[in-house]
Amino acid sequence: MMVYVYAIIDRPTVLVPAIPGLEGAALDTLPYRNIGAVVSLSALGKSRPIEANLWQHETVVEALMTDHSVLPVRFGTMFPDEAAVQAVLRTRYAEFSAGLKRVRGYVELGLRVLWDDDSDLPLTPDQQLLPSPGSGRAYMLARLEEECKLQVRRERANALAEDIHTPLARLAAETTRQTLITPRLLLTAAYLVKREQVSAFRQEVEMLNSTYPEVRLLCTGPWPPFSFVAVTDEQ
Amino acid sequence: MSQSVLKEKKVTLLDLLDRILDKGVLLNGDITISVADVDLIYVGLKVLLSSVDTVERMRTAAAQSPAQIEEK
Repeated sequence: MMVYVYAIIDRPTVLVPAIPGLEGAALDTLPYRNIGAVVSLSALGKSRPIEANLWQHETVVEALMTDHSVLPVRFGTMFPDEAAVQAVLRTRYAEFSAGLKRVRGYVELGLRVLWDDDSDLPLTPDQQLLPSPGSGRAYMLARLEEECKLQVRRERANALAEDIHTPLARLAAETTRQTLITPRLLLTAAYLVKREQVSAFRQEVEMLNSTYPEVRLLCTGPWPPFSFVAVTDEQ
Repeated sequence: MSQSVLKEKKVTLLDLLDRILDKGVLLNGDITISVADVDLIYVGLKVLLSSVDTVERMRTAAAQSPAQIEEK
C-alpha cells in the first residue's frame, strides 16, 4: 500500500470531505506545522489515469477548495509511507506556505481561443503547384511569398491575442498564456481570478466573443489553481 | 447556456488532463502510471520508466548493499 496525495492544504487537520478517494479509500490529513497534505491509502499500481480516477482526484480537490486554500498535487503522486509525505512538507514548507497564501480565495479559469481564419493560411508544400523544371527563381520567390504570409499571419495573431488577453488579464492576479500552439488555436491561457470576480470574467469573455466574430472564446472552470502553484515570471 | 462557457464533457476532460497530468505540485514521490496494464514508475523527478518489479528490486538491493546494485 502506498500513500496517495491529492493536495497541500492550509490546515494541519481538516474535516475531510464526505467523499471517497481513489479506490473508495478514506481521505486523511497529514499535518506539518500549520499546513497539511490530504491523502488516502492506495494499492500500488491502482492509480491508473483512467477517466474515473482523474475525476475522482479532481472531485476531492474541488471539494477541499470550498473551505480552504489548496495547492493541487499532480495526479498519480504516491509515497511509500506517511513519514515520507511529512518529510516533503518539512523540506518545502516555505514554498508551500507562500503558495497557499498566494492562491487563497482565487480560482483558475482556462481559456482557449479558436481562430476561424483560414483565408490567409499559406499553402502546405504538397498543396503548392510544382514549379516547372528550371524555374528555381520562381520557386524561391514563391517560398518567399509564403514566408511573408506566414509572418503576417503570426503578427496578426499576436496582436489579436493581445487584444483579447489584455482585458481578461486585468481581472486576474496572475496569468499564463501561449499563442498559436496550433494554427487555429490563437490563444491558450489560464487566469488566477478572485472567486468573486468569476462572473465579471465570464461577462468579459462574452463581450469579447461579440467584439471579435472571427474568433471563438471557450472558457472553462473554475478550476483549482493547477497552473499557479509556483511563482512564474509572467504576470 | 452561452456557447463560450462550454461544459461539454470532452472539452472539459481535455482541460482536466492538461492540468492534472502536467501541472499542479510535483512532489518527490513515485508517480505510478499504468499503461496497458504494465505499471510504470517515474522515480523522483527523473523520468525513469521502469516496471514496478524492477524498481522494487533495486530498492531492496540498495537497502542491503548500495555498492552492488545490478541492473537486471
